[in-house]
Amino acid sequence: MEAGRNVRILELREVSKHFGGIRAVDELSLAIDRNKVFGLIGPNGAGKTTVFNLITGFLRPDKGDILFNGEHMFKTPPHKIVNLGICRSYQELRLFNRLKVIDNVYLGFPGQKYDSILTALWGKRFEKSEERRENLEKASSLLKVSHLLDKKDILARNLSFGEQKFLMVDRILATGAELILLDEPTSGLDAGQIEDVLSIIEALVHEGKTVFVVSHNIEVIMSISDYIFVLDQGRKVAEGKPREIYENEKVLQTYLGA
Amino acid sequence: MDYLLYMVTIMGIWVMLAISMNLVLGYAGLFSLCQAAFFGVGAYTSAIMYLNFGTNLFVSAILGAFISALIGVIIAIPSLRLKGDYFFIATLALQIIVFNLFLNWEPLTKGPLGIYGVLRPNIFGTRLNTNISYFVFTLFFVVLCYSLSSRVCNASFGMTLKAIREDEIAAEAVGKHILKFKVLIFVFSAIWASLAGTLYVYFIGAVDPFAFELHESIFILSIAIVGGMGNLRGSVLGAIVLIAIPELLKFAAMPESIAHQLRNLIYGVCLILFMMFRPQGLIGEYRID
Repeated sequence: MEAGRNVRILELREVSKHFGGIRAVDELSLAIDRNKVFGLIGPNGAGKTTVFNLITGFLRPDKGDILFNGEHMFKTPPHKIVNLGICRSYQELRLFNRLKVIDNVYLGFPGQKYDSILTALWGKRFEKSEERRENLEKASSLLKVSHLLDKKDILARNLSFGEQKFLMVDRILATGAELILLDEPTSGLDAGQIEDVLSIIEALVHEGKTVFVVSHNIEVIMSISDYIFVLDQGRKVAEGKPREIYENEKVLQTYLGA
Repeated sequence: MDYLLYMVTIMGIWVMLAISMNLVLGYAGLFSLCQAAFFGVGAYTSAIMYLNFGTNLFVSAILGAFISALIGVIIAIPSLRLKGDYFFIATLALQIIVFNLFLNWEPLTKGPLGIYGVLRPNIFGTRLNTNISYFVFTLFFVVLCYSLSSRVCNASFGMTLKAIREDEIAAEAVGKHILKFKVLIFVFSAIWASLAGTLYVYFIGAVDPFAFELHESIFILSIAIVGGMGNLRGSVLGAIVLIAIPELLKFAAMPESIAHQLRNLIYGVCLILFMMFRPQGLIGEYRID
């Protein structure tokens, strides 16, 4: 752990979000520690995705405060939050379907000079630029790990669903974010692919990232998480280590209605 | 021969307009219906400056581009902040407002009569009175427009525009400030449409408001669609084809009144056929597979 950096990477303090009369998230407080896997579970409509939208700035909380690395993020726009170091995946993937596989990864790299129209116009030609060469190399090495390198020049929409999931993870990695939010990373995958995703998550933590996972698949969450939050109707009903959650009666009630 | 040079100069000007449309619609996925308004702003600014102050072409070109860019920013920032079709509606409104200004601001624009008597420019001591010299002059700007636009589109700036077109939220979720990209490309395209207007008025020598009506924006849109979206070469080919077809029809023996109607009919049929059989345009961005 770097000196002076808090163990706590993200903190939600009594965050609420209402849509009309519906309380999507209700006075939710949770804290996430660096370099661990945190899980978020709950039945449909519990507000899991809303929590992700609040953390990434796509929604603004009605009340409460969100701190990332100790900084308040009340009015930070989504693209700045990514640059600060939080990146998320989407359940529906949201790849750039009609762009090449490698371009999907390329777009994730932060601080690109050729994202400025002036550099594009008057700078050295992009095709010959150092930046492009370096980023293409980085993108290729990411794709190599996920076995997509030989498909780098086809359009993203022509990949299989499993491959698209890996491409999405590569795009997140390209941003260099330290906190990675994964929304249903294993949905629609077969058993073998789920294993692959789990090993990727382990590898991420090994590289020093922090992972926050939302999933319906309780087994998956139980097996990879260091700590779990349980959400029901926008409220936190339980939190703890997987074993504690497993034995928690409230959780059983939430899930089984027993 | 002189006629041919006249036609290719016209094509060159419309290549610039088609590129300006393609940048906005083909790359960024923004539906704009006001490219003809920017075209008109360039043309009117140049004509008014020339006749009232004898301003040099380059100065009026820059002034026109500046005014267009300013209008572009004013329209784009509020309407692009909102998701959905507001931008499209705002550009449509701008198109109608600008046309009505040309038509009704008589002290400045001479209303429906238009402005006459703009002489060909004097470049480095030579007046570009021949069509060949003016064609070369126009070609210079077309090449400039094409090469600068392709620089922008090929760089990661252009890649980001396509990403925004594909999925705005995902582009934001990888850290792109999407509003900035959208506003910049719209302003950039407005500048080229305006420069095309300057070239046009010095070439024809006159302007009237009816050259910059809504249907002109739609014509520019058809060129961009028929040529192919997200590919600048498509816009070049599209302009050549869609301007050549009605000209070729002139050689068929039929009265002018029918030929004019036929022109519109052909555009309509062309668009429908393209949408049915070749939605990616003559030269598309990628192969349909």
